[in-house]
Amino acid sequence: MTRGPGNHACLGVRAGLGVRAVLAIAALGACSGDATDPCTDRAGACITVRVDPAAGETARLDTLELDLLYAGIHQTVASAPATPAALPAELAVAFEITEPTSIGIVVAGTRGGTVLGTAARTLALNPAEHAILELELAAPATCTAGTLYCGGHQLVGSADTLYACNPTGAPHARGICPLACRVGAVTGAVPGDGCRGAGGCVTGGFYCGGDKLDGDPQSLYRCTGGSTGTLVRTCDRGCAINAGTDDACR
Amino acid sequence: MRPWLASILVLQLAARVAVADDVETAAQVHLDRGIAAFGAADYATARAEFQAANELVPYKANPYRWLALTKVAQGDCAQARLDVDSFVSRVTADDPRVPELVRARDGCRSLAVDRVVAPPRLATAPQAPTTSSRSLVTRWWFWAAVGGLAVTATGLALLATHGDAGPARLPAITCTPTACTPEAP
Repeated sequence: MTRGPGNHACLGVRAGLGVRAVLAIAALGACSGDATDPCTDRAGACITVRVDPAAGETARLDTLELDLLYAGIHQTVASAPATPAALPAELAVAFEITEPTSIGIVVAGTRGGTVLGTAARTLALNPAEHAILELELAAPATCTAGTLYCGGHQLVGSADTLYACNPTGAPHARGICPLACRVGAVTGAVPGDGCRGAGGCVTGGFYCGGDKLDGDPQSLYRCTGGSTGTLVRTCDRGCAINAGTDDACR
Repeated sequence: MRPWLASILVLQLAARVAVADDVETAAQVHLDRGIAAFGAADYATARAEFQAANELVPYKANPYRWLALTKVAQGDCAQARLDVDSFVSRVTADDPRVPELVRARDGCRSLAVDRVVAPPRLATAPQAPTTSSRSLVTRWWFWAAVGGLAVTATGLALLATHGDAGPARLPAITCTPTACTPEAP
Protein backbone atom coordinates (compact mmCIF):
# COMPACT_ATOMS: atom_id res chain seq x y z
CA MET A 1 0.00 0.00 0.00
CA THR A 2 1.29 3.42 -0.90
CA ARG A 3 0.30 6.51 0.99
CA GLY A 4 -0.04 9.98 -0.32
CA PRO A 5 -0.20 13.21 1.61
CA GLY A 6 -3.12 13.82 3.90
CA ASN A 7 -3.25 10.27 5.15
CA HIS A 8 -4.90 9.19 1.96
CA ALA A 9 -3.78 5.99 0.43
CA CYS A 10 -4.75 3.83 -2.41
CA LEU A 11 -4.72 0.11 -2.17
CA GLY A 12 -5.42 -1.93 -5.18
CA VAL A 13 -6.10 -5.52 -4.46
CA ARG A 14 -7.41 -8.07 -6.85
CA ALA A 15 -8.68 -11.20 -5.31
CA GLY A 16 -10.68 -14.15 -6.40
CA LEU A 17 -10.29 -17.58 -4.94
CA GLY A 18 -6.85 -16.33 -4.09
CA VAL A 19 -5.02 -13.09 -4.42
CA ARG A 20 -4.41 -12.56 -8.12
CA ALA A 21 -2.32 -9.46 -7.98
CA VAL A 22 -1.68 -6.50 -5.79
CA LEU A 23 -1.31 -3.07 -7.25
CA ALA A 24 -0.47 -0.02 -5.25
CA ILE A 25 -1.20 3.37 -6.69
CA ALA A 26 0.15 6.59 -5.29
CA ALA A 27 -1.41 9.94 -5.93
CA LEU A 28 -1.20 13.44 -4.48
CA GLY A 29 -3.82 13.25 -1.80
CA ALA A 30 -6.15 11.25 -3.89
CA CYS A 31 -6.39 8.03 -5.77
CA SER A 32 -6.02 7.72 -9.46
CA GLY A 33 -9.34 8.18 -11.15
CA ASP A 34 -10.77 10.07 -8.20
CA ALA A 35 -12.98 12.04 -10.54
CA THR A 36 -15.27 9.04 -10.58
CA ASP A 37 -14.19 7.35 -7.39
CA PRO A 38 -17.23 6.83 -5.19
CA CYS A 39 -15.11 7.49 -2.08
CA THR A 40 -13.92 10.88 -3.28
CA ASP A 41 -16.36 12.98 -1.30
CA ARG A 42 -16.16 10.98 1.88
CA ALA A 43 -14.06 12.39 4.69
CA GLY A 44 -13.66 9.24 6.74
CA ALA A 45 -12.22 5.86 6.01
CA CYS A 46 -13.61 4.48 2.82
CA ILE A 47 -13.01 1.53 0.57
CA THR A 48 -13.89 1.63 -3.08
CA VAL A 49 -14.88 -1.92 -3.79
CA ARG A 50 -14.59 -2.71 -7.47
CA VAL A 51 -15.99 -5.98 -8.61
CA ASP A 52 -14.87 -7.48 -11.87
CA PRO A 53 -16.41 -10.45 -13.58
CA ALA A 54 -14.51 -13.65 -13.94
CA ALA A 55 -12.56 -13.80 -17.18
CA GLY A 56 -14.93 -14.23 -20.07
CA GLU A 57 -18.04 -13.71 -17.97
CA THR A 58 -20.49 -10.98 -18.88
CA ALA A 59 -23.20 -11.54 -16.33
CA ARG A 60 -25.30 -8.77 -14.81
CA LEU A 61 -26.04 -8.77 -11.14
CA ASP A 62 -29.03 -7.39 -9.30
CA THR A 63 -27.50 -7.55 -5.85
CA LEU A 64 -24.03 -7.43 -4.43
CA GLU A 65 -23.98 -9.02 -1.01
CA LEU A 66 -21.18 -7.92 1.25
CA ASP A 67 -20.20 -9.80 4.32
CA LEU A 68 -18.26 -7.37 6.47
CA LEU A 69 -16.18 -8.20 9.48
CA TYR A 70 -14.54 -5.32 11.33
CA ALA A 71 -13.90 -4.17 14.88
CA GLY A 72 -15.70 -7.13 16.33
CA ILE A 73 -18.74 -6.46 14.19
CA HIS A 74 -20.05 -8.90 11.65
CA GLN A 75 -22.78 -7.96 9.29
CA THR A 76 -24.11 -8.97 5.95
CA VAL A 77 -25.50 -6.15 3.86
CA ALA A 78 -26.76 -5.96 0.32
CA SER A 79 -26.24 -3.23 -2.24
CA ALA A 80 -28.82 -3.40 -4.98
CA PRO A 81 -28.80 -1.17 -8.04
CA ALA A 82 -32.07 0.10 -9.43
CA THR A 83 -31.62 -2.15 -12.44
CA PRO A 84 -29.33 -5.13 -12.94
CA ALA A 85 -25.80 -3.86 -13.39
CA ALA A 86 -23.20 -5.17 -15.75
CA LEU A 87 -19.81 -5.87 -14.28
CA PRO A 88 -17.45 -4.28 -13.52
CA ALA A 89 -19.28 -2.46 -10.79
CA GLU A 90 -18.10 -0.42 -7.84
CA LEU A 91 -19.39 1.05 -4.65
CA ALA A 92 -18.14 2.95 -1.65
CA VAL A 93 -18.02 1.28 1.73
CA ALA A 94 -17.46 3.93 4.38
CA PHE A 95 -16.33 3.13 7.91
CA GLU A 96 -16.49 5.17 11.09
CA ILE A 97 -13.29 4.01 12.69
CA THR A 98 -10.92 5.78 15.05
CA GLU A 99 -7.98 3.42 14.91
CA PRO A 100 -6.37 1.08 12.41
CA THR A 101 -8.87 -1.65 11.79
CA SER A 102 -8.80 -4.93 10.00
CA ILE A 103 -11.63 -5.13 7.51
CA GLY A 104 -12.75 -8.46 6.19
CA ILE A 105 -14.90 -8.30 3.08
CA VAL A 106 -16.60 -11.09 1.24
CA VAL A 107 -18.67 -10.17 -1.78
CA ALA A 108 -21.15 -12.33 -3.59
CA GLY A 109 -22.71 -11.16 -6.82
CA THR A 110 -26.20 -12.53 -7.22
CA ARG A 111 -28.88 -12.48 -9.85
CA GLY A 112 -32.36 -13.64 -8.98
CA GLY A 113 -31.07 -15.18 -5.79
CA THR A 114 -28.42 -17.21 -7.56
CA VAL A 115 -24.83 -16.55 -6.66
CA LEU A 116 -22.88 -15.72 -9.79
CA GLY A 117 -19.53 -15.50 -8.10
CA THR A 118 -17.79 -14.68 -4.87
CA ALA A 119 -14.58 -13.02 -3.79
CA ALA A 120 -13.02 -12.05 -0.51
CA ARG A 121 -10.21 -10.06 0.97
CA THR A 122 -9.04 -8.71 4.29
CA LEU A 123 -7.20 -5.41 4.53
CA ALA A 124 -6.10 -2.99 7.22
CA LEU A 125 -7.60 0.47 7.07
CA ASN A 126 -6.59 3.58 8.96
CA PRO A 127 -8.98 6.35 9.98
CA ALA A 128 -9.64 8.73 7.08
CA GLU A 129 -7.83 6.40 4.72
CA HIS A 130 -9.16 5.70 1.27
CA ALA A 131 -8.42 2.40 -0.38
CA ILE A 132 -9.38 0.65 -3.54
CA LEU A 133 -10.18 -3.02 -3.34
CA GLU A 134 -10.49 -4.82 -6.63
CA LEU A 135 -12.17 -8.16 -6.45
CA GLU A 136 -12.65 -10.59 -9.27
CA LEU A 137 -15.62 -12.80 -8.87
CA ALA A 138 -14.99 -16.48 -9.10
CA ALA A 139 -17.57 -19.19 -9.44
CA PRO A 140 -18.83 -20.16 -5.99
CA ALA A 141 -17.16 -23.20 -4.59
CA THR A 142 -19.13 -26.28 -3.74
CA CYS A 143 -19.45 -25.74 -0.04
CA THR A 144 -22.14 -27.42 2.03
CA ALA A 145 -24.78 -25.04 3.32
CA GLY A 146 -24.54 -24.51 7.05
CA THR A 147 -21.06 -25.95 7.35
CA LEU A 148 -18.13 -23.91 8.65
CA TYR A 149 -15.01 -23.47 6.58
CA CYS A 150 -11.74 -21.65 6.89
CA GLY A 151 -11.26 -19.10 4.13
CA GLY A 152 -9.83 -20.73 1.04
CA HIS A 153 -11.22 -24.12 1.97
CA GLN A 154 -14.26 -24.83 -0.21
CA LEU A 155 -15.07 -21.13 -0.29
CA VAL A 156 -13.36 -17.82 -0.78
CA GLY A 157 -12.05 -15.88 2.18
CA SER A 158 -9.12 -15.10 4.37
CA ALA A 159 -7.22 -18.05 5.70
CA ASP A 160 -7.42 -16.77 9.28
CA THR A 161 -11.17 -16.30 9.16
CA LEU A 162 -13.91 -18.82 9.69
CA TYR A 163 -16.90 -18.66 7.37
CA ALA A 164 -20.25 -20.34 7.16
CA CYS A 165 -21.52 -21.53 3.81
CA ASN A 166 -24.97 -20.09 3.37
CA PRO A 167 -27.67 -21.81 1.30
CA THR A 168 -26.74 -19.90 -1.86
CA GLY A 169 -23.09 -20.86 -1.58
CA ALA A 170 -21.91 -17.42 -0.50
CA PRO A 171 -19.59 -17.38 2.50
CA HIS A 172 -20.58 -15.47 5.60
CA ALA A 173 -17.83 -14.66 8.04
CA ARG A 174 -18.10 -16.04 11.54
CA GLY A 175 -15.05 -14.24 12.79
CA ILE A 176 -11.33 -13.82 12.63
CA CYS A 177 -9.65 -16.57 14.57
CA PRO A 178 -7.47 -15.30 17.44
CA LEU A 179 -4.81 -17.91 16.74
CA ALA A 180 -5.55 -19.57 13.43
CA CYS A 181 -8.27 -21.23 11.45
CA ARG A 182 -7.88 -24.95 11.23
CA VAL A 183 -9.46 -27.23 8.69
CA GLY A 184 -11.32 -30.04 10.41
CA ALA A 185 -10.84 -28.51 13.85
CA VAL A 186 -14.37 -29.31 14.95
CA THR A 187 -15.49 -32.88 15.30
CA GLY A 188 -18.61 -34.40 16.70
CA ALA A 189 -22.18 -33.91 15.64
CA VAL A 190 -21.46 -30.96 13.35
CA PRO A 191 -17.93 -31.41 12.05
CA GLY A 192 -16.20 -28.70 10.16
CA ASP A 193 -13.43 -26.19 10.26
CA GLY A 194 -12.98 -23.98 13.24
CA CYS A 195 -10.79 -21.55 15.05
CA ARG A 196 -8.00 -23.27 16.86
CA GLY A 197 -8.13 -22.89 20.63
CA ALA A 198 -5.15 -22.17 22.82
CA GLY A 199 -5.89 -25.27 24.87
CA GLY A 200 -5.97 -25.72 28.61
CA CYS A 201 -9.66 -24.99 29.04
CA VAL A 202 -11.16 -25.77 32.46
CA THR A 203 -13.48 -28.72 32.16
CA GLY A 204 -17.09 -27.59 32.54
CA GLY A 205 -16.21 -23.96 31.81
CA PHE A 206 -17.78 -21.92 29.01
CA TYR A 207 -15.65 -20.69 26.17
CA CYS A 208 -16.09 -19.02 22.82
CA GLY A 209 -14.72 -21.00 19.93
CA GLY A 210 -11.11 -20.07 19.29
CA ASP A 211 -10.48 -18.97 22.85
CA LYS A 212 -9.19 -21.95 24.82
CA LEU A 213 -10.95 -24.53 22.70
CA ASP A 214 -11.51 -25.18 19.01
CA GLY A 215 -14.71 -23.94 17.45
CA ASP A 216 -16.81 -21.18 15.97
CA PRO A 217 -15.98 -17.76 17.39
CA GLN A 218 -19.67 -16.92 17.45
CA SER A 219 -20.63 -19.97 19.43
CA LEU A 220 -20.34 -20.85 23.09
CA TYR A 221 -18.95 -24.23 24.14
CA ARG A 222 -18.59 -26.14 27.38
CA CYS A 223 -15.06 -27.42 27.86
CA THR A 224 -14.59 -31.17 27.95
CA GLY A 225 -10.87 -30.94 28.47
CA GLY A 226 -7.81 -29.75 26.61
CA SER A 227 -9.01 -27.76 23.62
CA THR A 228 -12.27 -29.52 22.99
CA GLY A 229 -15.79 -28.81 24.05
CA THR A 230 -19.43 -29.37 23.29
CA LEU A 231 -21.59 -26.75 21.62
CA VAL A 232 -23.86 -24.95 24.07
CA ARG A 233 -25.42 -22.50 21.65
CA THR A 234 -24.75 -20.25 18.73
CA CYS A 235 -24.69 -16.60 19.74
CA ASP A 236 -26.95 -14.25 17.84
CA ARG A 237 -24.78 -11.18 18.43
CA GLY A 238 -21.40 -12.72 18.85
CA CYS A 239 -19.47 -14.36 21.63
CA ALA A 240 -17.48 -12.32 24.15
CA ILE A 241 -14.22 -13.64 25.55
CA ASN A 242 -13.91 -12.71 29.21
CA ALA A 243 -10.65 -12.88 31.07
CA GLY A 244 -10.78 -14.77 34.34
CA THR A 245 -14.37 -15.86 34.00
CA ASP A 246 -16.60 -17.76 31.64
CA ASP A 247 -17.02 -16.47 28.12
CA ALA A 248 -20.59 -15.61 27.19
CA CYS A 249 -22.84 -14.66 24.31
CA ARG A 250 -23.24 -10.91 23.91
CA MET B 1 31.93 -41.04 -60.91
CA ARG B 2 29.94 -44.12 -61.64
CA PRO B 3 28.68 -44.40 -65.23
CA TRP B 4 25.04 -44.71 -64.24
CA LEU B 5 25.23 -41.59 -62.11
CA ALA B 6 26.86 -39.64 -64.94
CA SER B 7 24.12 -40.82 -67.27
CA ILE B 8 21.44 -39.53 -64.92
CA LEU B 9 23.13 -36.16 -64.63
CA VAL B 10 23.48 -35.86 -68.38
CA LEU B 11 19.82 -36.73 -68.84
CA GLN B 12 18.77 -34.19 -66.23
CA LEU B 13 20.90 -31.51 -67.88
CA ALA B 14 19.46 -32.34 -71.26
CA ALA B 15 15.96 -32.14 -69.85
CA ARG B 16 16.65 -28.76 -68.33
CA VAL B 17 18.09 -27.47 -71.59
CA ALA B 18 15.07 -28.77 -73.43
CA VAL B 19 12.75 -27.05 -71.00
CA ALA B 20 14.75 -23.83 -71.23
CA ASP B 21 14.66 -24.03 -74.97
CA ASP B 22 10.94 -24.48 -74.88
CA VAL B 23 10.55 -21.44 -72.62
CA GLU B 24 12.77 -19.28 -74.74
CA THR B 25 11.01 -20.43 -77.86
CA ALA B 26 7.67 -19.55 -76.36
CA ALA B 27 9.01 -16.20 -75.26
CA GLN B 28 10.28 -15.54 -78.74
CA VAL B 29 6.84 -16.33 -80.15
CA HIS B 30 5.29 -13.76 -77.83
CA LEU B 31 7.99 -11.29 -78.73
CA ASP B 32 7.42 -11.74 -82.46
CA ARG B 33 3.69 -11.30 -82.05
CA GLY B 34 4.26 -8.21 -79.99
CA ILE B 35 6.57 -6.70 -82.58
CA ALA B 36 3.98 -7.31 -85.26
CA ALA B 37 1.29 -5.67 -83.17
CA PHE B 38 3.60 -2.77 -82.38
CA GLY B 39 4.21 -2.28 -86.08
CA ALA B 40 0.46 -2.16 -86.58
CA ALA B 41 0.17 0.42 -83.77
CA ASP B 42 -1.86 -2.09 -81.75
CA TYR B 43 -0.06 -1.17 -78.58
CA ALA B 44 -2.41 -2.93 -76.24
CA THR B 45 -1.82 -6.27 -77.91
CA ALA B 46 1.86 -5.55 -78.21
CA ARG B 47 2.12 -4.76 -74.51
CA ALA B 48 0.37 -7.96 -73.55
CA GLU B 49 2.64 -10.04 -75.77
CA PHE B 50 5.80 -8.35 -74.53
CA GLN B 51 4.61 -8.79 -70.96
CA ALA B 52 4.09 -12.51 -71.58
CA ALA B 53 7.55 -12.79 -73.04
CA ASN B 54 9.03 -10.90 -70.13
CA GLU B 55 7.37 -13.20 -67.62
CA LEU B 56 8.81 -16.25 -69.39
CA VAL B 57 12.35 -14.92 -69.63
CA PRO B 58 12.67 -12.10 -67.10
CA TYR B 59 16.44 -12.29 -67.36
CA LYS B 60 16.37 -11.31 -71.04
CA ALA B 61 16.83 -7.66 -71.95
CA ASN B 62 14.89 -7.41 -75.19
CA PRO B 63 11.37 -7.78 -73.83
CA TYR B 64 12.08 -4.85 -71.50
CA ARG B 65 13.14 -2.80 -74.50
CA TRP B 66 9.94 -3.52 -76.37
CA LEU B 67 7.84 -2.98 -73.30
CA ALA B 68 9.50 0.40 -72.87
CA LEU B 69 8.88 1.39 -76.46
CA THR B 70 5.27 0.27 -76.28
CA LYS B 71 4.61 2.16 -73.04
CA VAL B 72 6.22 5.25 -74.49
CA ALA B 73 3.86 4.94 -77.42
CA GLN B 74 0.99 4.62 -74.98
CA GLY B 75 2.19 7.59 -72.96
CA ASP B 76 2.75 5.47 -69.89
CA CYS B 77 6.02 7.19 -69.18
CA ALA B 78 6.51 6.18 -65.58
CA GLN B 79 6.27 2.50 -66.39
CA ALA B 80 8.37 3.02 -69.50
CA ARG B 81 11.18 4.49 -67.44
CA LEU B 82 11.22 1.41 -65.25
CA ASP B 83 11.48 -0.83 -68.30
CA VAL B 84 14.25 1.32 -69.74
CA ASP B 85 16.16 0.97 -66.51
CA SER B 86 15.58 -2.76 -66.51
CA PHE B 87 16.85 -3.02 -70.06
CA VAL B 88 19.92 -0.85 -69.46
CA SER B 89 20.86 -2.89 -66.42
CA ARG B 90 20.89 -6.07 -68.52
CA VAL B 91 23.05 -4.89 -71.41
CA THR B 92 26.47 -3.43 -71.76
CA ALA B 93 26.90 0.32 -71.80
CA ASP B 94 27.83 0.37 -75.46
CA ASP B 95 24.79 -1.58 -76.58
CA PRO B 96 23.57 0.21 -79.70
CA ARG B 97 19.94 -0.05 -78.58
CA VAL B 98 20.51 2.08 -75.48
CA PRO B 99 20.64 5.52 -77.16
CA GLU B 100 17.45 4.81 -79.04
CA LEU B 101 15.67 3.77 -75.90
CA VAL B 102 16.95 6.73 -73.90
CA ARG B 103 15.69 9.07 -76.59
CA ALA B 104 12.32 7.41 -76.50
CA ARG B 105 12.23 7.70 -72.73
CA ASP B 106 13.16 11.37 -72.83
CA GLY B 107 10.60 12.01 -75.49
CA CYS B 108 7.98 10.37 -73.39
CA ARG B 109 8.91 12.59 -70.49
CA SER B 110 8.52 15.68 -72.67
CA LEU B 111 5.15 14.49 -73.78
CA ALA B 112 4.14 13.89 -70.19
CA VAL B 113 5.23 17.35 -69.14
CA ASP B 114 3.20 18.95 -71.87
CA ARG B 115 0.21 16.84 -71.12
CA VAL B 116 0.09 16.90 -67.36
CA VAL B 117 1.99 19.79 -65.92
CA ALA B 118 1.53 22.52 -68.50
CA PRO B 119 -1.60 21.97 -70.53
CA PRO B 120 -1.56 24.05 -73.65
CA ARG B 121 -3.39 27.34 -73.48
CA LEU B 122 -6.42 27.25 -75.58
CA ALA B 123 -7.88 30.15 -77.47
CA THR B 124 -11.14 29.58 -75.74
CA ALA B 125 -11.60 28.70 -72.12
CA PRO B 126 -11.50 24.99 -71.63
CA GLN B 127 -14.82 23.44 -70.92
CA ALA B 128 -15.28 22.18 -67.46
CA PRO B 129 -15.74 18.47 -67.36
CA THR B 130 -19.33 17.46 -67.23
CA THR B 131 -20.51 16.06 -63.95
CA SER B 132 -21.20 12.73 -65.56
CA SER B 133 -17.60 12.38 -66.68
CA ARG B 134 -16.00 13.28 -63.36
CA SER B 135 -15.02 10.62 -60.90
CA LEU B 136 -16.86 10.60 -57.62
CA VAL B 137 -13.64 11.04 -55.68
CA THR B 138 -12.89 14.32 -57.48
CA ARG B 139 -15.99 16.02 -56.14
CA TRP B 140 -15.71 18.22 -53.10
CA TRP B 141 -18.95 17.07 -51.58
CA PHE B 142 -17.79 13.47 -51.67
CA TRP B 143 -14.88 14.20 -49.40
CA ALA B 144 -16.99 16.46 -47.22
CA ALA B 145 -19.42 13.60 -46.78
CA VAL B 146 -16.60 11.18 -46.04
CA GLY B 147 -15.18 13.58 -43.46
CA GLY B 148 -18.56 14.09 -41.88
CA LEU B 149 -19.14 10.38 -41.65
CA ALA B 150 -15.70 9.85 -40.14
CA VAL B 151 -16.26 12.52 -37.51
CA THR B 152 -19.67 11.15 -36.69
CA ALA B 153 -18.40 7.59 -36.45
CA THR B 154 -15.50 8.66 -34.27
CA GLY B 155 -17.80 10.59 -31.98
CA LEU B 156 -20.18 7.67 -31.66
CA ALA B 157 -17.30 5.31 -30.99
CA LEU B 158 -15.92 7.60 -28.31
CA LEU B 159 -19.34 7.98 -26.79
CA ALA B 160 -19.88 4.26 -26.75
CA THR B 161 -16.42 3.61 -25.37
CA HIS B 162 -16.86 6.27 -22.74
CA GLY B 163 -20.17 4.82 -21.74
CA ASP B 164 -18.70 1.36 -21.30
CA ALA B 165 -15.47 2.45 -19.67
CA GLY B 166 -16.77 3.29 -16.24
CA PRO B 167 -17.88 0.58 -13.90
CA ALA B 168 -21.50 0.51 -12.85
CA ARG B 169 -22.08 2.43 -9.65
CA LEU B 170 -23.81 0.54 -6.86
CA PRO B 171 -25.38 2.12 -3.78
CA ALA B 172 -22.80 2.90 -1.12
CA ILE B 173 -22.66 1.27 2.27
CA THR B 174 -21.95 3.09 5.52
CA CYS B 175 -20.61 1.22 8.49
CA THR B 176 -20.89 2.78 11.93
CA PRO B 177 -19.38 1.26 15.08
CA THR B 178 -22.58 -0.72 15.46
CA ALA B 179 -23.92 -1.61 12.02
CA CYS B 180 -23.62 -1.33 8.25
CA THR B 181 -26.46 0.00 6.20
CA PRO B 182 -26.86 0.54 2.45
CA GLU B 183 -27.59 4.01 1.20
CA ALA B 184 -30.46 4.72 -1.12
CA PRO B 185 -29.69 4.08 -4.82
